[in-house]
Amino acid sequence: MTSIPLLLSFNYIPTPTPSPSSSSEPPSPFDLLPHFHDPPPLPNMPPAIAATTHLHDLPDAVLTNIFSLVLHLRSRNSMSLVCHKWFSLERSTRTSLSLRGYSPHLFLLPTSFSAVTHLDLSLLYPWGHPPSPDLSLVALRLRQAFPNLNSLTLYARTPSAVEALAPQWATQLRAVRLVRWHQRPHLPHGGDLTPLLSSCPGLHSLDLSQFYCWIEDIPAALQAYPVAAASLIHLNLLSAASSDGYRAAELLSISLSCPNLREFLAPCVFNPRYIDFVGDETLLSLATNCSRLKLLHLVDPAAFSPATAPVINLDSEGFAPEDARITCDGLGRLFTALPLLEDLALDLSQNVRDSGPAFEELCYKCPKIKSLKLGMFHSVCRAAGLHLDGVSVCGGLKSLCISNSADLSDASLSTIARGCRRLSKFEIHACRNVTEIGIKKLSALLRMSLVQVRISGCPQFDVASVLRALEPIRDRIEHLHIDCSRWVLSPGKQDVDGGDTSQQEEEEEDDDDDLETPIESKKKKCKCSVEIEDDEFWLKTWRRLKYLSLWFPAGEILTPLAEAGMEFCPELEEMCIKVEGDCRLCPMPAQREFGLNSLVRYPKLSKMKLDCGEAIGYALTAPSGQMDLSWWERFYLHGIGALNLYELNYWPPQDKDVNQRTLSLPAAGLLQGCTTLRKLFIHGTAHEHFMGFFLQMPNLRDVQLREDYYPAPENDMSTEMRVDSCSRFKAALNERYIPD
Amino acid sequence: MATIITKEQQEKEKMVTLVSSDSEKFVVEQKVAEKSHVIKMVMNCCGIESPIPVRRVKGDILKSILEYCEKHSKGEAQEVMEKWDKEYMDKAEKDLVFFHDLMLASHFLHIQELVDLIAVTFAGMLKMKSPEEIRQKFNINNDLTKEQEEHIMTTFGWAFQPI
Repeated sequence: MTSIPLLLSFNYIPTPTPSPSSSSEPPSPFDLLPHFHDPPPLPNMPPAIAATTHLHDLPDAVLTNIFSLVLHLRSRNSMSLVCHKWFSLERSTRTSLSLRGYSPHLFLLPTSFSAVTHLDLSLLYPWGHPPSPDLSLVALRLRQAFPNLNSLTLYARTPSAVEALAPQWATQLRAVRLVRWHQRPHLPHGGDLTPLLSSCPGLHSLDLSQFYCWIEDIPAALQAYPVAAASLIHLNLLSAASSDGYRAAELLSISLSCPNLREFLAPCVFNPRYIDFVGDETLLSLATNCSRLKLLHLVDPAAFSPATAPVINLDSEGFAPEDARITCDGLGRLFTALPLLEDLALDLSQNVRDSGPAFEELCYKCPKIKSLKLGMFHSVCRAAGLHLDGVSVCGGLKSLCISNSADLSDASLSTIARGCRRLSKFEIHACRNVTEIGIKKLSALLRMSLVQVRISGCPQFDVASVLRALEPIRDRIEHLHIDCSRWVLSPGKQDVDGGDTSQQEEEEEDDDDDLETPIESKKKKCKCSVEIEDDEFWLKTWRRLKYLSLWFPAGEILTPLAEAGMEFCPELEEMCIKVEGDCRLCPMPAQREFGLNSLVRYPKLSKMKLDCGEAIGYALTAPSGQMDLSWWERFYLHGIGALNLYELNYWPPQDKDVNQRTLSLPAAGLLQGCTTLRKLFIHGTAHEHFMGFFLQMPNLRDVQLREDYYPAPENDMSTEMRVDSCSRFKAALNERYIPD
Repeated sequence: MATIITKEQQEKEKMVTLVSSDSEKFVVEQKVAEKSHVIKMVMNCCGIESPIPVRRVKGDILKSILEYCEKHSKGEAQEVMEKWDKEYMDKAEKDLVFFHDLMLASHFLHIQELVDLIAVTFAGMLKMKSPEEIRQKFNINNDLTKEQEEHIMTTFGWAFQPI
């Protein structure tokens, strides 16, 4: 008993900060102790009373700590409705908010979210419209509601929105992401960015990856505001909407304005036929101007957005017609100038030959390199002898992506696997010499680390062989992308590959092959399933696969997927299906449906992206013997009602001639059948009476039409979805009784 | 022979006695008790000779906490620890009163690892629950009136991300 005074004396240590509830930091013992005197001492309570202990006797500091760990939004919303105390605590721990309300009502905004530091205004509805006609008032209101904001996302169709909002937080704003898919208004160069850079000199991150603007805009704006430009650390200019790249002079101007950049992403013109193309010297001066770069992505627009750029025709050996003016020496000097480099992407559509030695230098000059993406680099790893060469020397790589490498062989793959033991992500695209054996060897050697694989555009693969090649990591892989252009490689096909064909042509031929030989392919499928049956059950199971991405040429069907080897995927949650091609050219599939209902076999599948955006057809009236897009939509969506989907992103197919991507009647009807759906995003337009179908779906809470492709239709011009009809639909949707 | 005695003595010296609120005594190694920041400080200023009363913590809770501290002072592989933590939490989760006391006690004794573990578990318990379910489970009185609830739902409702 002598020691009691000791403990008491410990309690009496003076406490400088009495209120732990006001700070969100983990409490130190000193400020906690006095707090624990507030509730009656627990141990003295008889058990009966202890049983009725209320959880909200817990000190605020404890609850704050717990609440900040709940990231799930629906749980947060219901937590805030539990009681007064929980409401205020929940609000004070919420740091990120994305507003979805009706933009003209923005002034009704609640002020309780005062702790929010990241605000997303780009998804207000109607989508793509400025927050409100009376911007200055709204801006003041936003300032009042979110005093601690430091990161903002905004749909900036005109500069006026930025003009009103940016000054409200002025110097405290650190990260801004602008979004725009509509056409650029008539402005002087850099007009969109002027209001932002002039009022926010402390900006660290500027993300324009979803912002359509002209190439000339950026250098002009950055030059005009040198203070803001100099403070930039992250600059992302890799816009999917743009089909043009930066020239040497523009790149240099940007790099001179922003010497402190750590992360820089931009499309560049590497083609030596253009004036002022990007070559060795430009890269070197870029590196000397921004020597602290950790992440550098320079991508040729043709490689980045193949849909908008002209197709590059490769010759029979897989080389592009032009050579880029980038040499091994030049790359070596680039790497010397950037010692901190961790992530490099050089995705070209012109040849860089004999590039292997450059990557050996990369390993020594940039010891921190972790991620590498190379497009059109040849001889990256010769694998001539037993020693490691080229890329395989970079042992620290965690992610490697090689596309269009003409001489990448199976031997190169196994050398890479021997050298890069930590590789967790591996992608190859359009490497014509890689076969099943190479991938199998790679996956066996990297069994312990590899979890993400993407194989696309490789002519020597069919679905079954890719899946067979991945057998060694079948129970470990988490992300997978494959092309479903052919279910089984027909024997005569390889000869055709050797011939002089461009990629596009090959794909079309693939379609024909598949369509001609459904019976033959079925026989082969049986063969491989017999082989697999000998194995144990667990060998067939993709135990950890969570995400599966599939690419289909137009007209191909999904149904044989399970037979090809994807029968058991107990953990599969998300699927991404992309259909690309010209529906006008491919003959009508024999089977009348794509086969979405065959996905019922994956029990946890809840999210799906169904992207038919690059499938082209006749929107209105098709010539005789052809099917219009509504028929194709029915083909693709048939059976979707059988799936237990929670979230669906759908891109309707398009008619390029009239720039129309709209939901047709059969599509609306089929989507309506998917009753478990809670979120539905349609990346296109729709008629109001078709949207009315969705009101019949009991669980649906969130529907949005996002025209996030360039150029987004001007809503006031098109007849599909006007602002008024969008609002009417939203009102009807919100009026429904919501059980939770 | 002599060396063995000194070793035993040393070990004895390292032991410390903790007394819970219901006068239950626990003898643990010093390094185990040191996991608690508070006890560590008491030991630093008062020594380890006399038993340290932990007045706010009941015997069964203290036992459970010391079990945790003992496991975590061994320095085993991370995977083993994670598995053990999970089992430990699964057990604790079943009895909410126990869980609640454990939470308070771990805060009181300032065992940061355990505080974090409990917070994560608690956060997991809140996931995907309606307000009414939360109230029932944790025995919370609803002091929001119907109107206030409506008010939050409607006026602020649109700011909720429908998800």
